Amino acid sequence: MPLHKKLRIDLRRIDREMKRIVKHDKDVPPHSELEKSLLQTINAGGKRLRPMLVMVGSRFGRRPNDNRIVQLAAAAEFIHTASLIHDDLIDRSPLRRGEPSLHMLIGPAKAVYVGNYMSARVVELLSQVDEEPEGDRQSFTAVATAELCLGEYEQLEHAYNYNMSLDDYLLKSRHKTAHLMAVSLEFGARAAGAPEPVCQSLYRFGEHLGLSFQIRDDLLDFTASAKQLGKPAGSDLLGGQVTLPVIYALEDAQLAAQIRSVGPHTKPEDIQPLLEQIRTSGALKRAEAFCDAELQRARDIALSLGDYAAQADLLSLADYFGGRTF
Amino acid sequence: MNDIMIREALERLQAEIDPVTRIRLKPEKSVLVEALTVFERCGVEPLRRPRLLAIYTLLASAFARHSEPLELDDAELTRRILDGDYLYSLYIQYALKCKEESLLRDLSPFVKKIQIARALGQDEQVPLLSAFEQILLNHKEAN
Repeated sequence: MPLHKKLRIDLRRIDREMKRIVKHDKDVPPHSELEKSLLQTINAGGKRLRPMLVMVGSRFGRRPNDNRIVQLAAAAEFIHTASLIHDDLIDRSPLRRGEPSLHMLIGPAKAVYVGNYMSARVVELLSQVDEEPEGDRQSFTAVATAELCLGEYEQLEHAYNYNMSLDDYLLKSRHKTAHLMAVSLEFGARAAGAPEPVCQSLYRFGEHLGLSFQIRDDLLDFTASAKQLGKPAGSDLLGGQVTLPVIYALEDAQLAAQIRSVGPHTKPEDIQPLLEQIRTSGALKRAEAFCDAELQRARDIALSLGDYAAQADLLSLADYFGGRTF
Repeated sequence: MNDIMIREALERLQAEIDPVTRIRLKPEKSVLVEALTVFERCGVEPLRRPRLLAIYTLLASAFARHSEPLELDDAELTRRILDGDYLYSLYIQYALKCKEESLLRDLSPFVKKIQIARALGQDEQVPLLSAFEQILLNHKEAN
């Protein structure tokens, strides 16, 4: 069963809200290239994990079905989507989910501004809502985005750095992936009026979940097909991303020598034998075990929230993240 | 007086910027002096001016990092995108830290309209100081 059905979340409602946010903006000219780009990006879809996390988080509060929760869910996806548009430019990636990246369609400058618009629109929207303390809502954008950027800086800093420590890898992954998932749960709960200790537990749950998500992504670079990934297998390794399987593989002296020879000018065909050796080295199993341990930590936090019916949704999330194959 | 405020603002800003970004802000002094003149004209009390100047500098720097041309073959493109994104998020964070929620709220439509204009390939001018002036005058009248 798809995750959103298991969680009883109507993804169409979130997509409608995302489109409404664009179409109800009187400053965006109807039928303009900007409007088309935004709607096309929304229609391209995605897993919508972050909006789902907002919705699940809200179930720990008194107002789970409030329209503002749906708006916050859409805002989380806007922030994520804006970061993907900019990521594709940073990585010079011509494809996104197997389709041309936005910058390939409208040019790099306009793609940057489409992403910027999405971030700016979220700030504008969240600052218009009354009742909640203003700083809480606006800080959702700031807190989420600043950490994403730090993750990117750290990734750049460590590109082709085969001496990267496990701690540096975990810090980068928390910033780049886990944090937005964690704040989506936390702010969903907070917006619905959940008690502060619960909001904090949900943040920690989301952080472990997000870290497992990143490690799973790292593993998929070795195990998934190009069709599933929307890019060739081994792209992370080729692009200099020192992922958890690579960190473990580097402990093998023979593999380490080969991995360290991968640089910015290495061709995709040159790393195929190395990919196969890493696959059979035991490094993937160790990364898998790390991923499972993170999920278990998330489950332990979920089990501590037994007073809430939504505890079952957290466990469903952990199960889904554990079984993800692409 | 202006020199002290400018130094205070820039020191505060640099302390906020995470070292991993390696961002060093070097705004033109004449631009900062002009901003301080506007703040004074709008009746902003002296103690508040350095933090407004810091907020103004962050937003102006974020806009500048993302100004055209932005080309794929530009070796600096990656850093410019990242720096612009980071400075924009820091602008929000810092404004909230300084309890400038209403300034942030009133600036948000302006920031969005600039992005729309840029996305539509319209005027590259960013009348940021005029926007600050208008908002600060509105706040003054409301009080």
